[in-house]
Amino acid sequence: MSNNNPSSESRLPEIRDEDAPFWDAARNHELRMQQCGDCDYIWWAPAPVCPDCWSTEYEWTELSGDGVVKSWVVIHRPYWDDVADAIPYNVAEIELDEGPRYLSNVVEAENDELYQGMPVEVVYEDVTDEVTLPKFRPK
Amino acid sequence: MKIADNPAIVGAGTTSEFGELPDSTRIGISAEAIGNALDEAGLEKNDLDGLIVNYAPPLATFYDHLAEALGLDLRFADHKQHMGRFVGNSVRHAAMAVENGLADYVVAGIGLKWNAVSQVGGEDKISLADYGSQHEMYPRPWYGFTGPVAASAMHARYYMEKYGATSEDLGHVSKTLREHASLDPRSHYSEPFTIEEHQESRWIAEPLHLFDCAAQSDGGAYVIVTSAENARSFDDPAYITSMEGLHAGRNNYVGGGAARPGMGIRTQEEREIDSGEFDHVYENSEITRDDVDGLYIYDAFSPNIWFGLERWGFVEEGRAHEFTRDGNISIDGELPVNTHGGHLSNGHISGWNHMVEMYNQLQGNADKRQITGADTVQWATPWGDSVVLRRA
Repeated sequence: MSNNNPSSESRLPEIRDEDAPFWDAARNHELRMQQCGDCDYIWWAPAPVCPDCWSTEYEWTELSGDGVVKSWVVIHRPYWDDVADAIPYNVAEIELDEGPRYLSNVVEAENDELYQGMPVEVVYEDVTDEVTLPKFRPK
Repeated sequence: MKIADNPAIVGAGTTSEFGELPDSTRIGISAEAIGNALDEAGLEKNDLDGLIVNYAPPLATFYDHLAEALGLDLRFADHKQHMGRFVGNSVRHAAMAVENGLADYVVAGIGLKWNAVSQVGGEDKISLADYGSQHEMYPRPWYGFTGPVAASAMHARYYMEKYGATSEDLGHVSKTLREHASLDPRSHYSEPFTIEEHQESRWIAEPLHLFDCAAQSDGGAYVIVTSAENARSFDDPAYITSMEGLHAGRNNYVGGGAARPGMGIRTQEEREIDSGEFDHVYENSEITRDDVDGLYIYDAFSPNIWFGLERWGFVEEGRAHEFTRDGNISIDGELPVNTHGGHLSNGHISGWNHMVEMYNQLQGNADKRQITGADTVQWATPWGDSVVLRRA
């Protein structure tokens, strides 16, 4: 029986200066992304300027954590040894209510229950003391 | 502008086979393919003064090492990035170089050994299904995501949900290209399969099966590009009558897959296709889409064929899965696509085998794959770049 969870201590995000605030927030069980101080645009992935107006004035705004499944895949091929117990598992593109799309896993659902437009909300998986992964469950 | 006033491809060649070539070296593969292109053109190696390659070692060879090993004497050498998408860029850059006097004869292409490279996920190395990546282009390994097959599957799922397409519809794409490959003795995979066999091939990243994924092939393919002026002394050049560059930006992020704009993937806006986006490409060649006798699409995965057909305006948005179901992309169909079998079955020579096939079609040298009366063929990718080739 698959545990449907491909995350592991052996494959952690490489935390760079530009996205460290995202991972710091996740550790506190908050979902934060950059929002432009000039034009209010919220973007992902992290970038040093607003992709819309190139302002460097931004803050890491807390998001609602709500969104919908835009698309998803079910991975059957074990690309790493430690996902053997997880396959088949889903990876989904989540469109957050505030606009940005975030690639993650949908938990607390069977893979065949996913659909385009499925409402989801963020949950947090503490993988290590340092790293927490935002994931999503049906809402 | 007259067709013959454009730069042209005057020779093209490949290795005698694509597939697993354990006894060949990367430089040997390039030497064979370039040699065949020179023979086809009636040129000598010393006529070459330009070289463009893409892909980095260890899959391919750094331009410097290749030029040294083959004894070339070049005044225009270039090496594009480590990705297949730069095939069109390479041809266009060659065309610009010869028209601006930077070189007379630019040989552009690749000698690849995919099978020399160990893959993420073990030693099973038969196709792109097995090619993982921790490259910055689209992976989230902490969520179990790696590319490029998973990215392509993500795009395919969106399309299937939105337009009611199915995996079986994709099966028709792969099956047709396998039939094309069965007509080319160089092909990596040439055994025809049925839709049922496609459906029974194992899931890789659902909704993509193994048979939706390209081969990972060893092999080489090169074309020789020259100016309109030089081309006058050749019998039947393939003139480059339109070019369109690689598109990029938040609506055109290729990532590991190939979502055409409008699909609402990653940073794309979700919107209808602009069906006139590329009208100027056809106007520049003084043709319409109806004049295109064969279409060549970068098909690392089967959904790319749908995305290419729709983005380039050959099929209405959301209808490509129906169009490709009914034999329309077969060699004798309404719009033949990848007549050599593409990456999916002919071999993953990174688009360069497509370029060689386009040249051969215009020469009337495509043997059992020949499109009757082919005088206009087009390279057109889901990421918006193109090369149109025509006979004068």
